[in-house]
Parts: sequence; C-alpha cells; structure tokens
Amino acid sequence: MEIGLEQRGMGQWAPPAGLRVRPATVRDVEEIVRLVNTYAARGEMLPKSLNQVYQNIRDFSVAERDGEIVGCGALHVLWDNLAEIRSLAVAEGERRRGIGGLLVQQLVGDACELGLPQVFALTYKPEFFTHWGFRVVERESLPRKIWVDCIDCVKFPQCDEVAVLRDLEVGR
Amino acid sequence: MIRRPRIQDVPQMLAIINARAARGEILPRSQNYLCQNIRDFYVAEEGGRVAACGALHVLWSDLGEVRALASEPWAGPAVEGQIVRALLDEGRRLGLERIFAFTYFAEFFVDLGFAIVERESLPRVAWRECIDCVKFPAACDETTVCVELRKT
Repeated sequence: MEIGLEQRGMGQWAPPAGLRVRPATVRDVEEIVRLVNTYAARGEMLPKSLNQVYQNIRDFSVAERDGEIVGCGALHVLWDNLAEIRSLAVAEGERRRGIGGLLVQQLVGDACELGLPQVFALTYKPEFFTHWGFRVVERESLPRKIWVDCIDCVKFPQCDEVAVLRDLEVGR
Repeated sequence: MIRRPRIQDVPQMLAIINARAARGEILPRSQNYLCQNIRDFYVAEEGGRVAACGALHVLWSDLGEVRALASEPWAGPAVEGQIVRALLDEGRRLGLERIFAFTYFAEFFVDLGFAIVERESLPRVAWRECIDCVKFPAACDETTVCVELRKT
C-alpha cells in the first residue's frame, strides 16, 4: 500500500539529498547495534544485542548515504492490533536533517502494509513523534501486552519514558 | 499468489499451522508467536483464501531456518514448494549463506535443493527452539536438511 505524504502527517517536504531508506540485511546488523548502543550507553534508549537484531532483522530499516548507515529504526508487531517503533536512532553528526522523520515514515508505512490499526512508541522525545502525527497518551492506556518487554527493562517500573500513539487507516 | 501476510491473515495461518502440528508433523505456534514474527512469513493465496504459509527465521549473520511450513488440504500440491522457493530468495536478499530445516519430510526439501546433514554440523544457535522441545535431545527423530544459498 502506497500512503501519501499527507497521510503520513508530512505536508510538503522533500527527503534529504542522496539519502535512502531501505530494509536492513544481515550485513547491516553490526552497524545497527553500534548505533543503538551508543545511545543506550547514555540511557537514551534500550540496548540491543546482535542476537536480538538478527532474530528481528525484518523489523529494521536503515537510512543510508553513500553506502554509510546514518540511521536505523524498527517496527515490531506485538499483537494483531498493535505495533511498536523501536530502536530509532540517527548517527550523531547527522541529526536535525530529517533522517529520523524519513525512518518514521517508513516504519509507519510498514505498519499500514501489515494492516495494523495503531503504532506506539515509548520515547524521551515526544515532540519528535507528535510532529509526525502521534499523540501523547497515558502509558497505562496501552494494552498490558506491551509490558511483556518492559518487565525485563532495567528501568521497570520506574519508567520515565512518554508513550506516543498514532492511529492508522486500515484498508484492504 | 505468494505474498507477504497482513495481520488479518493470522487466524487462517494459525489454523493451517496448528492443524499440521496436531498431526505431529511440525511444532504448534501461538497467536503471540505469529504476531511477533509475522514479518518472517510468506503466505500463498488461492481464491482469496490463505492456502499455505511458511517462515524464514534469521538466527545469525549467515544462518536462517525454515519454520511453520503448512498448507490447507485443498491447496495445490506444489504450494509448499513455492513458499520455500520464496523463502530462499528472501534469504539471498537478506545476505544469508545457508538455510536449514528440521523435518520429517526430508525428500520434500531435497527436491528443492537441500541436502541431508548431521544435526551436529549446525552451529549451536540453530538449537534455540530445540532445547524447549519435549524430544530434546535423545528422542529427536527429525532429519536436518540444509541448503547453501551460493550454490543454488
């Protein structure tokens, strides 16, 4: 399913030159893990192991410029009505160039293709997500299913992340 | 038509997989497993219905496993083979080197280019699902099949 920029909450906007977002392959995994764990080391996102990324490689998209990975993100399906954006990271010197937005569009598009009605994220940057059509919701309003992953988190239950949610058009 | 599943296909996929599992031919799968691993799957659609499904689960940088391969009794006999071929193409696109399966139907896989190998020839990461199996390790009676993607 092709979804228009308007539906993605975009308006008029052109992607940064020379940049493309594509599905990840196993060759990207070490770079993805390095990128995610740089931010994880500062407590800004959850760390990922090679094993976790290999086993969920289909969830991941990467942003690439001239063969170099400058960003990554994953869409993980949790249940038949809910998916989560995870591990969204943009390389340090590449931030504020629209790369994160490009990745979010890709992941939201993935959720549309899979037929999911809602996507959420747990984040320290809610204003980034609200810019892309998400709204801030109470964490407790999300189904209990999502806590299956949270209970293994070092921060559980003293979580200080903000839950953001976006409704999608489900067509067939 | 071989295509990616949508989440709305999960109930049909569950029924197909668990009917085959009830015959003891493959492992049963939960709705949770199908939802969380939906992106591993291909389905075959015939007449607007899901006729077959199968998954390629990536285990490590070089290794993938065919899982949850099953079809409806009314589906054409070639449909599972079509699913496996799609999964092999997917493995190549992902950059994998080899794909294995544990199966009671080795000849089916040999016809698709797999070779029968010793279970112990696979890296330990391949045993991830085995350790929870009631038959592990002594009573395992499945055959291990493996295909090198560069040779096919």
